[in-house]
Amino acid sequence: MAVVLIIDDEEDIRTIATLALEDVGGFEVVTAANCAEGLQAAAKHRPDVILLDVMMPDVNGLVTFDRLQNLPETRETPIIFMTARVQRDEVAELQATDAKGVIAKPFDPMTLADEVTELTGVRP
Amino acid sequence: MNGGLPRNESERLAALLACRILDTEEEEDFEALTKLAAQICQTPIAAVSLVDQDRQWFKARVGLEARETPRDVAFCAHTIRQRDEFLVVSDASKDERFADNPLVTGDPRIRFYAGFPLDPGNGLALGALCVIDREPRELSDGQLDALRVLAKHASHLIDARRREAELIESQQRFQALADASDEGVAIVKGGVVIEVNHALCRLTGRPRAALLGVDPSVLVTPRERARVTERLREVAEDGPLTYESEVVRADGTVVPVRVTAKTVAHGGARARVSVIRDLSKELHAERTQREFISVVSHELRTPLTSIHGSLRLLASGKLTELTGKAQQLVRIASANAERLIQLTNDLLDMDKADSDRLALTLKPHRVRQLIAWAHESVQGVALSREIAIRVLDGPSLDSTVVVDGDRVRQIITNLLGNALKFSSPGGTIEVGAEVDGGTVRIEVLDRGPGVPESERQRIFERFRQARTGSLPREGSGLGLTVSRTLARRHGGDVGMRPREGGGSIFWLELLSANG
Repeated sequence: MAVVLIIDDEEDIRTIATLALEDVGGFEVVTAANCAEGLQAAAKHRPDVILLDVMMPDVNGLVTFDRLQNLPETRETPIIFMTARVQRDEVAELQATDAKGVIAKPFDPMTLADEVTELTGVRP
Repeated sequence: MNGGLPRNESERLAALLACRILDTEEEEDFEALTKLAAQICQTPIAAVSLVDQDRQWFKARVGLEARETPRDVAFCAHTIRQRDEFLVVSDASKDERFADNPLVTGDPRIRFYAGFPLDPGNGLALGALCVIDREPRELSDGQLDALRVLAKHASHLIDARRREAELIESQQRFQALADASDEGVAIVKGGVVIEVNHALCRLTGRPRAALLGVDPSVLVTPRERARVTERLREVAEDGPLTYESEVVRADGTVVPVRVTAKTVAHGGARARVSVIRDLSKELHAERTQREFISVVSHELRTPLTSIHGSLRLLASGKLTELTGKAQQLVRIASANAERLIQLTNDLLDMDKADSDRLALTLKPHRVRQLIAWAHESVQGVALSREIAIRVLDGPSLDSTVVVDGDRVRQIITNLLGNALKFSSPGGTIEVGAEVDGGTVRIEVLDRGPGVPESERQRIFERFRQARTGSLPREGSGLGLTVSRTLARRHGGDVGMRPREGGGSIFWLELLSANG
């Protein structure tokens, strides 16, 4: 079963995304609340996809993205940004990275798994 | 004693005050003229006398100590109100008008007086040029002629004073106006600054003296210099122009400015008047507002993700089965969460479109494709409400428009969303296009309740929704406003008209790339 790592500082969002990907989508999910936990979890679980929040305290999503890219275990792992900052230039900044895509919040939990598959090609 | 006042006395007094000459210093021109009068007429006393409300005041005098005398004893007060060209009194002691005048009975014991009114050209005698003797006598015709010429000359001098005073006042008025402005003003002539106001001194941090005579391009940042010089050439050729630039202050800091420049005729040559507005506050306010909106939007979206996500998962029945009533409540809550999400989207769009920050990425698009995109966006809602959307095929759908595809899709989506909102289940919405000259008109036709005539203009205003009787209110009320702003940014427009047989036609007009 494909594993998705969700890195988001909001517990509620982690909960909903987990239900959406596990119960609706059929993925296996691990979660992390910040950059450090995320790097640890990534090294340990070797996820097939990483869903990464942008606005996080301390270390934000863009910096976390760079660190994941530099980690041998996750260098090739497809990463999708999740963001509540949806102005065109804010999204463009994320699209300019090597991320596989950007999912805007609020996302629809009923279609989140499909979106992940569409952006990365990874199926549950 | 002076036998009354001249006609137009108040006008005369006003004219005298306007000359700003009373109680001023002695002046060589007036002195010389007075001396000449005394010499020509061979009198010990001569004066240029100006008569105000209650005295005569001497601008220049020969043989007199006093600078003024009361009006009621002044011979010149008679001169200014008489109808003849001049007044000559050969022997005042024998003239009943003056015999008991203290200037006759006492010092300076006047016997002879001759005076010509001083009229600067408006028919108002402001005073007199007079010669006085302590002996009774007469003047020859030649002396009278000479005195007439000198009086005329004195009148011209007084008139010059008036013009000068008016000019100074006019300049002061202009300066007061210019200085009252919060915007900098500069007049440039012959390539250098010839006048500035206080606001420009404040804006540039330089005193007036440091601005006058300089080439205005040195006030601009080096990287802006060439561009500004080019724009200013356009002003000279094409008339008024507004552009944005950067000014370097004396302390080296840079101020963003908006300049409106205009060429005017000035002293027989061309000069340029530039009005310079400091944009730093506006830009700061705009940035702050933008950050605020962005943060608020983010702060709203995060909890909305949780609320909306939870409700969607509950409603799906994937986690637990809901009873009929619970299902209904979850559906209501979910629909309202969606409405809030739409509101945050619209607020962001509104803010951007309002502040002209919205950058358009213009590319050629087929009308058919734009409609298909919008159709896809609302298809889910249409299906859930059992409303059909029919695209009316025709050659116009193949025409091309040069637009920002995302924004135009957003407009058409808004118009379709609006039609869906007011359509009943089982109904049909039609969408088509028409080419008319240089414009393409995309129309969305519904069979909803229509919009009362009184509301038709107002529904495009902010937070307006047409009153629709029993139908529920949906959406933020910003969708049509955003659509209109976006359409106008493209040089087009949106509008509506009633549809024959009931319902409405909402249209979007865009410039055709083919036309």
